[in-house]
Amino acid sequence: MASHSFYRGEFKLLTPGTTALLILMAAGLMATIYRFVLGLGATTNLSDQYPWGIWVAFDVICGVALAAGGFTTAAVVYLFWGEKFHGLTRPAILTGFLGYIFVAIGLLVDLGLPWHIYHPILFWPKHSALFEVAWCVMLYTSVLALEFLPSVFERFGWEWAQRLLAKVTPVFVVIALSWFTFIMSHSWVWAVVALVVTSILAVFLPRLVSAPGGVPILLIIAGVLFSTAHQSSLGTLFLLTQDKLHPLWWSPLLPVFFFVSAVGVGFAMVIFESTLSSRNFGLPIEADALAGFGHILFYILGIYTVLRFVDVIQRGHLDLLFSPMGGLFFFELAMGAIVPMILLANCKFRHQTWMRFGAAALIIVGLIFNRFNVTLFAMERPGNGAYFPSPEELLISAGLVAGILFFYNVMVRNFPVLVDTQEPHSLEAPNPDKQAVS
Amino acid sequence: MSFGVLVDLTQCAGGRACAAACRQQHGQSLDSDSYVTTPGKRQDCYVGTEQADHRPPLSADRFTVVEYHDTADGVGESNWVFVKRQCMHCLEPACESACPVGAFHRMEEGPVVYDMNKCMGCRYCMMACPFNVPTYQWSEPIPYVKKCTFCVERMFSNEDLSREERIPACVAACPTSCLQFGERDELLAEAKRRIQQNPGRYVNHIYGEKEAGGTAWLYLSPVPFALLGFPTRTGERPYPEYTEAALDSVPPLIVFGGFVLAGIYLLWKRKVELAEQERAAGKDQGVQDG
Repeated sequence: MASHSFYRGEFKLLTPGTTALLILMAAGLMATIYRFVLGLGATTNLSDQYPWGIWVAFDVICGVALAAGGFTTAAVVYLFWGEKFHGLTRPAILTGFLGYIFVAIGLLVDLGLPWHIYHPILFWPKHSALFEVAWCVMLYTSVLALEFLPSVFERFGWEWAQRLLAKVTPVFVVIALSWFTFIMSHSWVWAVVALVVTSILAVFLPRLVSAPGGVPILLIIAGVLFSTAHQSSLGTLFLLTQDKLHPLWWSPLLPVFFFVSAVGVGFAMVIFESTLSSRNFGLPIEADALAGFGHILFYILGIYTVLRFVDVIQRGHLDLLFSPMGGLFFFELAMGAIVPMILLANCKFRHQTWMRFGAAALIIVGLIFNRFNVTLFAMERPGNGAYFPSPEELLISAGLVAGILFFYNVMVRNFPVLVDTQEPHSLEAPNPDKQAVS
Repeated sequence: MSFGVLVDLTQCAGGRACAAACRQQHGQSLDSDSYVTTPGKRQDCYVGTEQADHRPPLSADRFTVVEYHDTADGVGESNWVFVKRQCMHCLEPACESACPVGAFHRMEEGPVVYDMNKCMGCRYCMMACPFNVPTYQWSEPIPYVKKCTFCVERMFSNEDLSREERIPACVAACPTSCLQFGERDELLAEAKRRIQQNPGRYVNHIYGEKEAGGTAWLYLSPVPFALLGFPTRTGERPYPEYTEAALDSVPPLIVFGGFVLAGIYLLWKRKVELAEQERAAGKDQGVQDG
């Protein structure tokens, strides 16, 4: 894989695309200033009836799921030795990293007392799903940063930093996993067990994967563990709303559904984003790898669909499938799972760029719809008011999405992220013009 | 020792002295003490001069309200039942298990209290509460969660107070025998006695005995609780149990998951190596054959 060369491009600030993104970001920033000056009540349509709105539903809950591509791709490439997917790893990790940073920004805007955001570090309640999510997101964002750092070091040619990273990461992973186990279990026994296990892994697993980029395998494992834990815990959050969430959505299996659908949408996001960025940056589409992800997706969507239906039937709510809410349930599953599954079952379709892209888009929209159903549409709240986000709420959410796209654009033009098979020597012998721009 | 309050809805005349005392205790404006009704079958009902207010009744400046419910069928005469609402003070609170910073805490004596210095304003408590009790200071630039405190500030006051001054303000103010403060066990026995001794007067259900694992506040009613807007889907399972199993599986997931993932890595590594060896062997074979 050392033969990989990476795309480097000139970053122009004021192309039509980036101008649009900058305008959206500026509008979002204005709305954020408004929100902090005037308070939540004046700038949002949140109320005692709807304490959670679009910021929680979209920016945080959808955001975390949509950023799952980083861990799913890393798992396929490094743990399952999926060599042909290698070129997808760095963009997926970068997207994940940016995604989590913007989830954190969205959360800061939503919190009533954002300057207390560090409080989960000070106070450790037992059995709080949100506490678990808070810690996982903190630790996983650090993991993503460490997974992305090799690109930065390569960019500047800091080989010493690469070696240092290889030494430091196992220590970080051992401490992070043991510490996390301790605060989640409140038990020294578990903490010691975790310490022993992760230390054994750190000693016996090879420091670095043989592939280039030099990502330590233990770091990949930590990323998968933290992701599994918090993707599912976002579903655990809603176990407490058993009296309000419609029974077609509330299930003791919510953590499983959230995890499986996050894994699915992670792959779908990689297909979606890789197709678009290949087109945008004039790179060849990684057809073989993306079709491979389409194949994996077929099985994940199948498992997810079967689980959802078996769960509803097993809990004795078959009759509800034929109520109006049942229509919503069918619509959600058809759009997000069944139709894309049928599309991706076909080998020919999997290899057609835009058919595959369409299936991925459906999965993404379906997942967003699912998270909105769970957070808002299928949630019965007291009173009979309705919630629709205010302009400020919409602008801030749009600004966050624009921010991710903008910084993705900046990063891939300046750092070795996107594999470019057209110019095999662009890294080894950089074009002086390109060098000057960055 | 765990305290509670028994609310006998057959005794309430709807005078709202409790609500006024509550506002006074917490320094809130009496203006916010409007009549609150919930839609019964009689949709056009007016109370006093105010039109029926269908908002969720509790708010950051009213920790308790008295709801007016017309439980008649809408044809005959009105049959009003007045329902005081406030935090139920669960024995195993959903808010306590939800809060990511431990801002909610149930005291041994019964009150479920909120620590504003810990809160970060995520409002998960409001989503989780089975009784929709916690409310938010939406109009404040520095907002906090607000709810009934069970008057802990009276209960644990350092001043030399009489019993009347130590029990919750609403109970102390109640002119009828609707509200009764005491040890929860004793109140529960008293409630059962009342149901037994007055056949036909109450429905045979003490709301709060088992709901959501039991609450400090207990209700007796002349009509089914569902007619009065009491949540009916809470079930009897304590709320923290819903998430406990999932969260207890996290430490084993981390510990054994690490082993499993490392195992996958090594297994696949072996597989890849074997495949390569085979390919190499195949080549050799091909060379020999050739």
